Order: sequence, then C-alpha cells, then structure tokens
Amino acid sequence: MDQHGGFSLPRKVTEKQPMPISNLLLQVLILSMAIATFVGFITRKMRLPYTVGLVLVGLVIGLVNRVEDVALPQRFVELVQFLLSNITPEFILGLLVTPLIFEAAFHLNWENLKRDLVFILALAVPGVILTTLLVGSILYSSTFLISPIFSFPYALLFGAMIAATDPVAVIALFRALGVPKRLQVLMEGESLFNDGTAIVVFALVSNIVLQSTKSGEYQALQLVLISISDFIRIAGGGLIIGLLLGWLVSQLIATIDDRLLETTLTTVLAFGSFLIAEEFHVSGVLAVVAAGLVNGNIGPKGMSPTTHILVTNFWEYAAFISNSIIFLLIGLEIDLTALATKWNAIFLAIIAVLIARGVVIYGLTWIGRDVNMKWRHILFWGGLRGAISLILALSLPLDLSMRGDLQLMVFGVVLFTILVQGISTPTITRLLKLSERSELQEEYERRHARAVAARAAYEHLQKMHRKGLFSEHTWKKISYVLKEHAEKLAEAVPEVMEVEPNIETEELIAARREALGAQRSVLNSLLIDGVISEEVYDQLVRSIDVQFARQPDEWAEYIRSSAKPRSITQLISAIVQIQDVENAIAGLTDAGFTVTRMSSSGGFLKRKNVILIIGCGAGQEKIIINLLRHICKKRVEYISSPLESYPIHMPITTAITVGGATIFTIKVERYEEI
Amino acid sequence: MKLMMIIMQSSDVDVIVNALTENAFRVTHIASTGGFLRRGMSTLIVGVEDEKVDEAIQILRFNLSPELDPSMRRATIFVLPVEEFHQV
Repeated sequence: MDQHGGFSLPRKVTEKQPMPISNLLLQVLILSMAIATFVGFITRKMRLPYTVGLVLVGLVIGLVNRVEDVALPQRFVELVQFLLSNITPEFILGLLVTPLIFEAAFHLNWENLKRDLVFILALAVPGVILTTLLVGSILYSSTFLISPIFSFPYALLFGAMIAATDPVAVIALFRALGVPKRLQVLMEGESLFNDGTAIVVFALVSNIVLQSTKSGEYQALQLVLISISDFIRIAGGGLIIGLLLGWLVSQLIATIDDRLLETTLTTVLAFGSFLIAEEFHVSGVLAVVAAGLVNGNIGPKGMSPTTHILVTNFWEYAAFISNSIIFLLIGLEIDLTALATKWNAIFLAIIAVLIARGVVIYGLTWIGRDVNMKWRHILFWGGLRGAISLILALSLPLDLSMRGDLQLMVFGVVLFTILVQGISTPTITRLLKLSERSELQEEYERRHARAVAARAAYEHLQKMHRKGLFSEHTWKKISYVLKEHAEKLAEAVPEVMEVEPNIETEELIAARREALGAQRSVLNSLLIDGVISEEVYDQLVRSIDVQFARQPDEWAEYIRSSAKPRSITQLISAIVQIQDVENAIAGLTDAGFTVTRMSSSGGFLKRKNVILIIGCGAGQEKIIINLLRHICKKRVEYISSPLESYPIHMPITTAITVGGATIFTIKVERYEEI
Repeated sequence: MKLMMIIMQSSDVDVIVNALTENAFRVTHIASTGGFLRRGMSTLIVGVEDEKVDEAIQILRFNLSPELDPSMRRATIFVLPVEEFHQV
C-alpha cells in the first residue's frame, strides 16, 4: 500500500482507499439524523406516528437500494451498505436500546408503577413465557400449512423472538391523545420488563435448539429445569446489579452539585450497568431497567432543579436519537420482496401472535381485576413488536438452518404490528372514547374558538375601517353588533371552566410554563449581552427552575388559592439557611404569599440564617411546606478547620449537613390588615 | 395573654413604638424586610392581655400614616395565643 506523507493526498488515490470506520460511522449517524428530522417534520403534519414514518422511509430506501437499475448516489449506497453490514445486534442492544430503556425507566414513577406492579410483572414474566409457548404451539400445530416445516424447538424460538412488546409508537401518541396516565404506565411498564425477560427466554430457547440439534435427543425435563434456574439467575442477577449501581450512583449524585457531572454520572450508570451485568453473564437489559428505576426515583431528590431539567432533557434527546435510528434500521433491514415470497408463513405467524396476545391479555383478567375491558382492548391491539424482536432475529446464530425463514417471519410480524396496529391504535382509542378529553373539553374548545374568531373579525374590520375601506356609517352600524357578539362569546368561555376546573388548570399550567420559559430565555440573553454576571444568572435561573420542577397540579392550586380572598388562620415561621433564602422568597412570593424576612443566626455552627414569616389560610400550609422542602434541599458540605488538639497545624475536612428548613406552624387567633 | 406580631413599614416604627409604650404596652422591635419590593419593614412583637388586643389595634389604626394607595396595607397583624407567660 502506498504511504503518502503530508495532508494533500491526490484525490484519485484517496477514493480507492476505504474510508476510515469513524468517518463512515459519523456520516451514517448524521444521515440518519437528517432523515429522522425530515420524517419527524412530515409525520407531524400528517398526524402519523413518527416511528411508523421512519419504518416506511427505511422500507423505501431499502427497496430502492436493492433494485439495481435505480441509480442512487454511490456514497449513499455505501453508507446504507455499511449500516446494514456493521450494525450488529450487540451494537443495537448496547448503544441504542440502553438509552431507550434507561430513559423509560428513569421517568417511570415508582408510586404509579407500584399500583399495578403485580399485573405488569404478570404480563412481563409469565405473560412472555406463555406467549412463547402459545405462539410456538400454534405455529407447530399448523406447520403443515406452510412451506418451511417447523420442528417444535424452532417454533418456540420464533415465539421467544416475538414475545416482547415495544409500544413506543403508541405511547408517544397516547400522551397527545390524553389517554389516562395509568394505562400509559401499564403499557410502558410491561414493555420495560418484558424486554429483559424475552431476551433471557430467547437465550434459553436457542440454547435448547442448539443442543437438540447437536445431540439429537435430549432430556426434556432436565433442560427445562436448567432453563428455569438459569432464568432466575440471569434475571435476578441483572436486577440486583442494576439496583445496587442505581442506588450507589444516586448517593453519589446527592453529594455533588454540578449539573454536568451529575448528567454524566447518569450516563455512566446507564451504560455501565449494562456492561457490568453482561460481564457477569446476567441480563444487561434488566440491570438497566433496575438502575433507571432506582436512579429516576431516588436520584432526583439529590439533584437541584436545574440538574433535574438537564438530566431529563438529555435522556429525552438520547432516547429520541436511539429510537430514530432503530426504527429506520427496522425499515432498512426488511426486504419487502423477500417478505412477499413467504407471505403464507408470515400470515400464519401474525395470526399466532395475535391469538397469543389475546389469550395473555384477556386471560390474565383475574390478576389485573380493575383493568377494564376497554383498556384490555388497547393493551391487546397496542402490543406492537419492535426493536427487541429485530435484535433477536438479527442475533440468530449464523449456522442455524432456518435462520433466513425465521428472520423473514419476525420482520413480517414486526412490520404488520407497526404499520397496521400502530396506525389504527389511535383511531381505536378514539372510538373507545378512552381519552380523558371530555365533552366539556370539546365544548370549551368550541366556545374558545368562537370567541377568538369573533374577536378577529371585529379587529379585522376595525383595521379596514381605519384604512378608509368602509364608510363611517357602515362601520358604526356593524361595529356595535360585532363587538357585542365578540364580548358575549368571550363571556361564555369561563362558564365551562367553572363546571370543569381541569380545563382551567391545564390552561394555567400551559400559561405558566410559557411565562417561565420566557423569563429563562431573557436571562440567557442578558447573560450573553453581559448585563448580568454568571453568578446572578445561576441564582435567578435556579429559582425559575424550582418553579418548573414543581408539580404542575400544585401550580394551578397555588394560583387559584392566591386569587381567592384570604382568611389567615396560620402563621408559619420558617428558619431557612441564608443560601436558600432568595429562592425560598421568590418561590413563595410567586405562589402568592407575602413573606417577611428577619435575619438571625443559629445552629451548630452559628451560621447565618433567616426567619421567614408567612401568613396562610387553612390547608395552605401543606403547599408552603412542600415548596420549602423543594427549595431548601439538605446537602452535605465540607468545611476544613484546623483541629486545635493536633500538634501539627493540619486542616481536616468535616462533612456537615446543611440546608433544610425548620418550620413552626402557629395558630393565628386573629388577623388584621390595616 | 396574647402575642401580637405587627409587620409594618420602617418609616412608621418610631411613632408606633412611642404610642404603644405611652399606653403601657411593651414592644420589641425587629428589623426585617418583606413584601413585594423587599422594602425595609419592621416587625414589632408585643405581649398583650387578652382584653387589651383591641386597644392595641386601635392605637395602630390611629397612628399609622395614611397610605396613598388605598389598596396597599399599612400593617399586617397576627394575634397568636400564648400558652404561658413569665417575666423573670
């Protein structure tokens, strides 16, 4: 090979040399992101699930790429080829699925999950095993109908590959549709845990298949027993590693107060727990699930609101990128022309998968007793298959005799669930009237829209009149009617809100978020323009983030309570550390309370602190206490002080816990304002 | 026995403290800040017999300088129950 010195290589020679891997990877990544952005833009306009759009685009690119007559840019073909040949199942699982799972687990509220944990685990563990067995049995018993004849182990292998649900496409839409939170948690929880189970079951079944083909005959019972113990070891080990690491990192996060470091720590946790678990030959996916759950539920308690926002946004973005690439890959991997040749096997597989899903969802009725039928329909039809099935199909051993057929069937089922079930689930959700948007909501929308339209009409005519396009006479006649009409319509809007306060709450929350966002961006530009220092910026942004982090429902409650006339029944005297004072006052004032501050000092180190005096009405003390709990975080600080008893002057560091607030609530007998 | 906490603007403090002490109330003055604009505020702590609460409020009403903006409060008064009171 030629060795070229210097940087200006002759162009012809460089084209012959293969491009460095890192370069190709970067190009593939950027290309995928560009496609993802484009697809996202289009699907939003067409109100199609984003992931469905990606799969479709992937399919089209794959199709065009396989037809040799169509001239695609050489570089483009190279990139697609590179993507398909180099993206291994391990790569997808480790680099792309880990962020997805971690993000989902991180955001899953334990309190919400706990309520349906039994049902979710029933779906995720026995449910997955049952699906595997059912799909396997149905396929095996009707195998005479199709061209590749399946032996039972192979049929089981297919069942295992297709057992895990992946309803990302549906869940993303659920949020927009206003589907009850609990149903979302059910679906997300199931898909979170069953990924891990399915991977373990798949590994065990493929082990059985390989052994059965090697030895010819095998001790069925012995294998099953080994499988069960393996299952417990692999799943349990993964969960334990994840729990431990998640807890450890959460503790670490509590001692650090640096948003970048803390975000990095969560990244290390996500990928680290996967790698460590895999190193110990236990389930990496389940380790990530456990780590994410623990970290997402304990970790934020040790994070400042600013950090929490950054961590949340970071993982949301990471999950978005992973999702985009995965679904594009699903589309690319599937060869439509090959699918067509095996249409009967795929058709049978789809039927088998649907029957198994139905049996599992409707059959486990006795566990999730208060999960009603409508929800079950959604769980049944919304149980899409996705990334995990694809990964498992790609990771089938190369020397497996029916590898190609199995892959085609898996791809076929995945494609069917994403395209047919994915697109139709939103419609079914609407037909079942599952969305929490009530008739009142619609009534509100109608009235609001009418009022806005009437006002726009009035303003439009007013503008035309000013330009002299109307005679004064006409304007006088028409303006009176129009104005009265608009005013009447505007008055009709709050009537609905009185009946359905949720609508008001939603609008208040939205308005509040906008207001806070505007404040934050102004602070940003003030910082950039050099009007304020970094310190002031940090302080002010922190106090805004405190508001952001607050429970949205509480927000609306504050606003309502502060709008009501006050009757003060309680005096709250809160002793707050000096560094928390600004945020505490900002937060309380923002919530509509009047705060008086008095400087004082106290505590172990005679540190400066401040007494805040707040008057509040019945029931409001909880709000204040919650707010102060949020703002005045306990944290560990280190002080170095020379120890007097030491002969050598040696400073030692002592950890002390600071922060927190001491709150006295005192009953007010009488309250006067003069 | 009641404990009165009176939160008011610092500019009025001298007048009020004088008026209260003249009428045999014992007053403790704490400098503080508060309100929307973090103006200088003062908090007065006054221990009062049950039946003299009204009298104290009357004194305040009479001596506070009138606020130009009628929607603004001149003073906020919390009357708190006292379980035990000792003077040693």
